[in-house]
Amino acid sequence: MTFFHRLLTTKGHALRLPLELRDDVELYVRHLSPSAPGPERAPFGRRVDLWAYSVMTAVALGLAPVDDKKAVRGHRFKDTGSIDLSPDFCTLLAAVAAAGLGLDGERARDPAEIVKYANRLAAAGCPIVIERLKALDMKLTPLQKLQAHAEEMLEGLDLVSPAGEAQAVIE
Amino acid sequence: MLRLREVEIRRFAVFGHLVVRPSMDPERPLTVIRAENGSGKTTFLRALLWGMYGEEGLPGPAGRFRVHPASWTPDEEGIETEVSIEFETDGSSQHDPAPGDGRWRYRLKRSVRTIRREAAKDDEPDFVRAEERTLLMVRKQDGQWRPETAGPDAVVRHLLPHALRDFFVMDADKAVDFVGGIEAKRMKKGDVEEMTTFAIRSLLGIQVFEKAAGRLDRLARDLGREASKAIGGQEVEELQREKDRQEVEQQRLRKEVASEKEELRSLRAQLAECKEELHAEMMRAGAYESLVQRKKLAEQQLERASGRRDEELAGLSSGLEDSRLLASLAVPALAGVVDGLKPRYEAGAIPLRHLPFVRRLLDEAVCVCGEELVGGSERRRLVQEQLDRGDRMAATAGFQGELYESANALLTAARTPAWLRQQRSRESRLATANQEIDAAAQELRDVNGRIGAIDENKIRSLRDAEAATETRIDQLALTTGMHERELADLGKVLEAVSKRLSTKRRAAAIGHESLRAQAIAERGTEVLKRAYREVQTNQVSELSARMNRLFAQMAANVDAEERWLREDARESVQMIAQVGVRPVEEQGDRFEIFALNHKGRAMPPTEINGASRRVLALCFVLALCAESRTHGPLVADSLLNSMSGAVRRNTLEVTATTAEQPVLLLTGSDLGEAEQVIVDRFAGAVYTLTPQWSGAGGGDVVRRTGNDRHVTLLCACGPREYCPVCERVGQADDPAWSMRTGETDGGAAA
Repeated sequence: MTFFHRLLTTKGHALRLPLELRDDVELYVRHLSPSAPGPERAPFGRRVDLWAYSVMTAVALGLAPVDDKKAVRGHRFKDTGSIDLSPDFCTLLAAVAAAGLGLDGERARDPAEIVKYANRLAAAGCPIVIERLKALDMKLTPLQKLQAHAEEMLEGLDLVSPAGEAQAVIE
Repeated sequence: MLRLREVEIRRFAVFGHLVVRPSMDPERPLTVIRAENGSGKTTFLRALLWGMYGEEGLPGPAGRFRVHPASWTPDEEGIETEVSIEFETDGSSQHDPAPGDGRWRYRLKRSVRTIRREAAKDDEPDFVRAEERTLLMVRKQDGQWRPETAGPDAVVRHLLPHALRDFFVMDADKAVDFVGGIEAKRMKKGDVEEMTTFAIRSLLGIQVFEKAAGRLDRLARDLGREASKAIGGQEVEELQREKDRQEVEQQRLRKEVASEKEELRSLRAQLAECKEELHAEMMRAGAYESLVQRKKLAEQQLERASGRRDEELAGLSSGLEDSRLLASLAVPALAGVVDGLKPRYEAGAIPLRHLPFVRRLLDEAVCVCGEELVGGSERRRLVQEQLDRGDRMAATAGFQGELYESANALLTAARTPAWLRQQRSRESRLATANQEIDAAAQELRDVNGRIGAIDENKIRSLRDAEAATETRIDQLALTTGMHERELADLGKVLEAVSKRLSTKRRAAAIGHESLRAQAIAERGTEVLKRAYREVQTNQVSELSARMNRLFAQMAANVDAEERWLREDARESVQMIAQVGVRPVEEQGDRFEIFALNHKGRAMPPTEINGASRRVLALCFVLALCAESRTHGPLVADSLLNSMSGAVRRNTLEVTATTAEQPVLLLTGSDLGEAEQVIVDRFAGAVYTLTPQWSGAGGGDVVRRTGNDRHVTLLCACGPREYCPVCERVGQADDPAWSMRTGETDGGAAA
């Protein structure tokens, strides 16, 4: 357990996704029933995975976090105290919050503020993700669409070449 | 003939001990026991009956009659009562067990002990009889007495049947029941007829014919029933028809099973041919076996490739959740953090590492420059301020330091292409798996196409034929099995029916024999019935004739001598012209005693006075005893009651001369001068019973005593005699009486 993992998971903080996208979220998250769609149709194993991807999508695309009041009205699907979050992801959340809320401010050290800020980013990124998944392209599965979307974002960040090759030079 | 030789009574009711020896003299057969009313005449009869029949001979409910002396109070020791009867037979009685076998003497002794009943209930007597013993001794030709091996009851009941006891030991008042009972107690006509009929049938023995005929008739009916049952013609026919039906069914089933088996054989051969042809056809269609092998292989490849595809898809999906991707996407933020904090980190501002060092300086009170940090000095104050400020910054700096190091590490990793290479590799493997799937699917389609192409040809029809034949074989095997089981069951049924038929036929043969026997039995029954009717008619006619003669004797000279008789009584006797026994009209099996007047009209009992009815009844009893060859004694009580004059004299004389061994219990008033003449002439033995008790009075032989004993004494005095035993009480001054000399009790114990 790292410093940030302990910081965020010692106490539960609500994780929220836009209420209006609730049905779409359920569509792309895998469920336990045998007849439920597999990874091709439902690329995310859990809601929190979709939430994390949405947060990082907003960061990658430089989206402004949505209004705090709007984010608070979102669908609370889980809290940090009752879910398995990886230590690295907790660090990422702290870094994202520090970058957005200011490195020296007290808020950047407050786990509630960190999660609240991440919820606002998720609310900004989630519509983009859902839109991409729902995009009309009969040749691609949702999994492939998401993979393409991730690569496009990495490309936009100059982390991969347009041809899809990794930019080793960055290092 | 059966004759009483001696009657000995000990401690029975009013008797202490007495011995009566009835007359055995054929010239003087009469025995007279003179006794006044209440002296023990009836008790004597009861003692005799108890001696012969035990409890059955006593009146009232069993165990209630007091056989013990009246003056004795039951105690724990008890008292023994005993009656001993000695008699002899000459084999002439129809009831004799060994008729015509010489003279036999028997001594029947019956005794019982009466004791006090403990805790007797209100409705129970205060005594109980116990230890009743009966012993019958027989004296054989050698003169020795020995116990009769046949047992007392067997012999006594043969010689003196209980049903006929009233004919041997008769209460004349009771005998009047044959003609409707005494004046004060008239009986119903039906009861009188029944009693009369029973007496006639029992004594004449004609019921023997009836019983024999009945038995033969029952035998004939039984034979008939057995024959009908055994022959059972209709049943045999039905069984035969059943057997025929079952045999036809058996034949039909056998044919059916044979046909089914033949078809099965044919179908199995057909199936084998079909399979061979199918196999050959498939071989001809082109390496069917290898096609099947290829199909199996393709299916395995498809399954493996699908598994790999699923794995890769899962990997790709989890790759999108990989923190390396997320870190890459967060590169702008990470870079901002790292860039913002890097100068401070590199300057050592974050995290604050100098604070513990400064705190140690203060503790040691020596600055890093060597100057002393004494209390109150300006330098120490400055150092302390720096330390306090540092504490406040330490939390933020610590956080920032942690953030910098972590973000920097993530940023470094995010800028490496590891995640993308991994995803690419997975995509490549997924593509391979998809290709393999496509190839395997193509192979399967190809193989299935080839196999399908084969099915479409002749093989399909062969397979259809094969399946149809197999189905037909299964059905037929099932049907055949069922029919074979039915056949087996039918065989068992047929076997049972045949066995029953065979048994019935054998029984029928026996039945025909029974039929012949039945015919013989029926003829025998008819003969017996005719004989029975003949015997009955003859015997009843003879009985009537004898009755009529006896009645004429008893009623003789009434007109001349009985002037003093009441007019109606005299007329009654005079009017009876004929008496006898006849069948009751319309009921040939029942009899009644009748009396006809001179005009031949039947006189109903109401027109006959008491004396006449008594005479009539006595005639019936005497005639019946004579006709029946009963040849027994006649111990009669109250015989001459209600009679007087010529009737009484005649009755006494007729009884004395007609009965085999008359023992008459008479009162003094029965024995007038005329009767005394008859007694003197016909009596071989005369006794007098004298009762004695404190309150006694009246009568010609009654003794008064000073105590409470109630005992009757016996002596051998005649009608006009007295002795020290009986004394003379009532007739002490009568010159017609004389003192008897000789033995005081005539040989009888008093």
